[in-house]
Amino acid sequence: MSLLLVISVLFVLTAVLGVVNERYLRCSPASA
Amino acid sequence: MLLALVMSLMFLGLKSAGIVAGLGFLDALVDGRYLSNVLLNGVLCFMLFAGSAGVEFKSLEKDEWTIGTLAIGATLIACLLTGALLHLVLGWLGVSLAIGYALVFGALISPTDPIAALAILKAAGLPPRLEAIINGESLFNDGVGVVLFTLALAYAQGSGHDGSPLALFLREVLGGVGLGLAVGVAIHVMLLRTQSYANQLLVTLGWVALGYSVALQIDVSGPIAMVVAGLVAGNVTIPRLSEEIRAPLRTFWAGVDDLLNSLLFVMIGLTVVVVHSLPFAPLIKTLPVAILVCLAARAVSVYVPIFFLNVTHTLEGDRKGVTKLLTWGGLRGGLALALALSLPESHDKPLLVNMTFAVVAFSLLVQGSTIAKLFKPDYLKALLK
Repeated sequence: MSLLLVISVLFVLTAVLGVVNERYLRCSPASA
Repeated sequence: MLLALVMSLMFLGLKSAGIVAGLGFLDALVDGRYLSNVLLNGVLCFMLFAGSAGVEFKSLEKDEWTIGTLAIGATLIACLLTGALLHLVLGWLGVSLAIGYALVFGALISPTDPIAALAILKAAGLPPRLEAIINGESLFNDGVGVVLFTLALAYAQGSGHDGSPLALFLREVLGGVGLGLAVGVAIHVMLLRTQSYANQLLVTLGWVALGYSVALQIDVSGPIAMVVAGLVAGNVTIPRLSEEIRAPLRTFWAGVDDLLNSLLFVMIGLTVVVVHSLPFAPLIKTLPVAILVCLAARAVSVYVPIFFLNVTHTLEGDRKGVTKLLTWGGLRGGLALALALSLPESHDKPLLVNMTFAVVAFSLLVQGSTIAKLFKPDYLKALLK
């Protein structure tokens, strides 16, 4: 598997976590 | 962009002055196949997405037929004509360039990027309608050029693949469109669910990178996928965001577009010097030929659609004048450089990279700097009825 693919999968996972956190968990670093 | 071009020319100057020893370490860097693969594919995917996300169908207004005919017709004619002429003329000069790779060059050099020319022409009093046409053509011919590039490259490498050209076409183009739509939908779903700027950047950057690397893995056209994803994001998703979220996102991607364009000029300068350096003697013949062929093909490719539009009364005005303006104002930019650098290694790649650099540099330096002198405000105003 290419390096580019691995990096971009990690990138998208971070984005998904970011959106899930913002919409459903709402634990932003600022408020924690 | 000009500064980056100057830097790129500086590499050539250093080389011709004999100071190549100092560039030895760059050799290892650039030739590590690292730059040409990971970095270049990265640049190409983000640049294509950024460029097509800035294309708004709404902005076409009443000139959609003119722009559509020019973007599709002129790019197609220019691609075929440049490829055929170059193959013939270089053949006469004793330089062998396979017809497939000549068409690849035609496809990558045909899309115009007249941002520099537009700024100069606007200052010289270009009528708004002509400005909209020139701008619209350059926005849409990038997508057409990318499709033609994919097809020409598939044809050039054809003998190595099994399967019919039609199957290859369906796989590359339709696969690319399908993947692009999927990426567009993913970006759409996630962007509409976030308000945070950081998350929006992560979503767009992440999906663009993932879409492109998946395209490389499953052998469909990554550039086409990125253009489609950019069109979906720019026309469906971004207009639905609220103004305060939309503006920074658009600014970010416009900035990425500019930044990568500048980076490309430096990269191609390096690549021409260290990786694809060719003997000087044949280049002195082939480069001027490439520049002249591109100008001639551009003139014909613009005249034919303009003639057609003129006969059907879609665009009335001075045919020759508009052709002259669109030919001399049809500067080439970063897309041509990125596509040339992204070519897989082959016998013809060094020549193609060198010719692309020559045509782009000539168009920016010579055409760009003389356009205001050639087209006076009175002349420009009288071009369209």
